[in-house]
Amino acid sequence: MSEIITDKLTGKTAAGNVTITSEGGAVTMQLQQGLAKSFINHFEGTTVNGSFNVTSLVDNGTGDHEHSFVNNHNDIYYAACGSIIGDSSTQTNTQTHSCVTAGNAPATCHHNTSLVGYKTVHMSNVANDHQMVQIITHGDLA
Amino acid sequence: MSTVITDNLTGKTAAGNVTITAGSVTMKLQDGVTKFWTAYDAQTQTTDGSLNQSSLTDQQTGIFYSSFTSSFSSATDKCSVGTALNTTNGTSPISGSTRAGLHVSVGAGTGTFRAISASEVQYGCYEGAAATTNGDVVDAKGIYMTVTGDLA
Repeated sequence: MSEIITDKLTGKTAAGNVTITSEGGAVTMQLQQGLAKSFINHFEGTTVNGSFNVTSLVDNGTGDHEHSFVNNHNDIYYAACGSIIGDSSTQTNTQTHSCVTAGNAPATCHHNTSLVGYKTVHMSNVANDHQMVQIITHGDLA
Repeated sequence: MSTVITDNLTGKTAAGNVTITAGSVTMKLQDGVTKFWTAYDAQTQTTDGSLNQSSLTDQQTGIFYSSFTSSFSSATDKCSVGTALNTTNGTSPISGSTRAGLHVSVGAGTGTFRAISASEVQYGCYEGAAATTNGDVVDAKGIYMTVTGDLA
């Protein structure tokens, strides 16, 4: 097996474009496009358990958070996905569970290159704080 | 275009740290790599595909946990997100999903809640309450979960 030992990979033709071959060997893809560009794992409030490329978590109110990126996305059309762990009396009721949605309260509804907002909402249509909120983004950096 | 042909990339200063240019900035390559994923058919109780999964336990209807082959460095410094294929039979959508959503959450909304861990992830699949039926856990035809973060 061959091995490259280096601290940095840079595309030669374009710095931000390194191509890799697929597992099946049939196609190639841009390595950078397959990388997650940020994630955060936080409790209710502003206690951050872990993150990368994230700064300034803001608690806008019950079930309403947003955070900024250290290095911004290059446009607003990146994918933000999330999940939660329930830790409330309502969350234990499987008939009306909670979920996380991108975009926070309508008054702020932030989803731009430097900032992403999101809500955790109980299916009884009530904003609900949760013990562990996890948000990941994929897309191009600026 | 130049091409480097190799089977393995290792950081020179630190084995687990290779920097890559992304846009006009640089980032740690390992940070952006998904370390675990699974595609589970809860109807046939079959794992259709996975990465870094040593076993999947079907605890009860709609509640599962996957054990990792290689553990994460932290129980909480990681990001777990999932979704589900909106069908139980492969041909029609789940009835409760049209009104209040079908979704996957980490942990268990019913049954045995497993402690948050660096060596496994627990997740459940739920359909929302509809006009005349309650929501509930559900065995969707596809349960998809990914975890990103640092491995030990």
